[in-house]
Amino acid sequence: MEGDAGELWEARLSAVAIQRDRTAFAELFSHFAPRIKAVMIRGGMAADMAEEIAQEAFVAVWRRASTFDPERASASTWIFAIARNKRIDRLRREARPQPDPEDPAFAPDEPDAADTMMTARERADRVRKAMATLPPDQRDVVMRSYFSEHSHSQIAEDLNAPLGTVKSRMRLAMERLRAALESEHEEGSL
Amino acid sequence: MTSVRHPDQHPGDEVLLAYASGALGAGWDLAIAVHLALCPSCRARATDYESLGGAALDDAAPEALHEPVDIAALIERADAVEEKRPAAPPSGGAPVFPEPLRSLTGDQTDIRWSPVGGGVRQKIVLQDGGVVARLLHIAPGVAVPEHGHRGLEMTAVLSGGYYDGRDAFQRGDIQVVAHEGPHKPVAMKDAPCVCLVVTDAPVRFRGLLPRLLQPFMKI
Repeated sequence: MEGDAGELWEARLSAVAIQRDRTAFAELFSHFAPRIKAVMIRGGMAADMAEEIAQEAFVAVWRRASTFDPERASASTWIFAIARNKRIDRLRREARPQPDPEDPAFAPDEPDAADTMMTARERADRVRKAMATLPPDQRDVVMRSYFSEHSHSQIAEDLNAPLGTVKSRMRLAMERLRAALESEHEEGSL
Repeated sequence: MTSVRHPDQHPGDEVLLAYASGALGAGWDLAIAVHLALCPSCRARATDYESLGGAALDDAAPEALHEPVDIAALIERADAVEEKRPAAPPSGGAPVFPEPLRSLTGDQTDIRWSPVGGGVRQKIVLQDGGVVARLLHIAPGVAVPEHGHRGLEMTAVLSGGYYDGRDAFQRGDIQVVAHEGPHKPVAMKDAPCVCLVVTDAPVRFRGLLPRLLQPFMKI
């Protein structure tokens, strides 16, 4: 999400967390629920189920708003992760195993990380920009692998391309994304 | 501050991308979640990949909801949900197993192990299709019989550690083996090694005795 809009949604999530602000919640819902539905449909889900997932995700947004940490993830990334988990819960009919930051065995973030790293919103922008600069064929396999359930061999079939080609595009894309993020880390820590 | 290069003790980018997108199946995502609970830098990497999903939400053309949603009713529904708190940590000292594993199995001291021979004990955690997640308890200095892989194997170390002939793996480390090469992990000598091992194809042991054991181990 580009800067200002991202900040706006973060502020609304905080209002939900702290003041239990129903107006902010309604605004978040009307912005994100139709987008969750769209992304679920893109992943191959039927429209009515996608709509249910969007609602279930917002049940969790209301309940778990206080666990939103803008230093760790942007608002849209946090909401995406909730919707993704709801989708998995639905497909498996059981809760997806997730780490619990309240767990005494959970290794906390390093305290200096927040000072030396970019903000979560900046990092999210870097990932988005790095994706935008990938050659289209590489971006295509990353997006197919991310938003469909398809394996590399299924993607190869869909694209009518050899499996080795799909794998090497994927590998090159991951290397480029990683390189883009790492160079920006260093810049961010100066 | 340099970023982690994800050597062998951490999951590679493709695995984290698959985790972030939700494409990893049951079992695999348990092993990754255990690693993420113990590794803050991989958590940050996973969030980077989750932000691809966040960007997709931002960019998506909204799909209008068919049914008008009553926000007050949705909030009421949310407030009525009973919170399932994970198992309380055992009294006295920090638990060894992190969430989400501990909710499934209890802590390390709660496990009722089944011997599989040769100083190795196991506890099956879950089976999903061909994927099996099991805890292994390997006595100090004991070598797990040499085995090759047809599929993928993820090993998340919970206590103690092992060598695989090339690298050492300790609590919080994860080893992802996707190739065919045989390997023979050996538990470190000072303590038992307890790890969560997830496999998707029957593991083939070399040598007759381990092959005879295999049906019992369900490996």
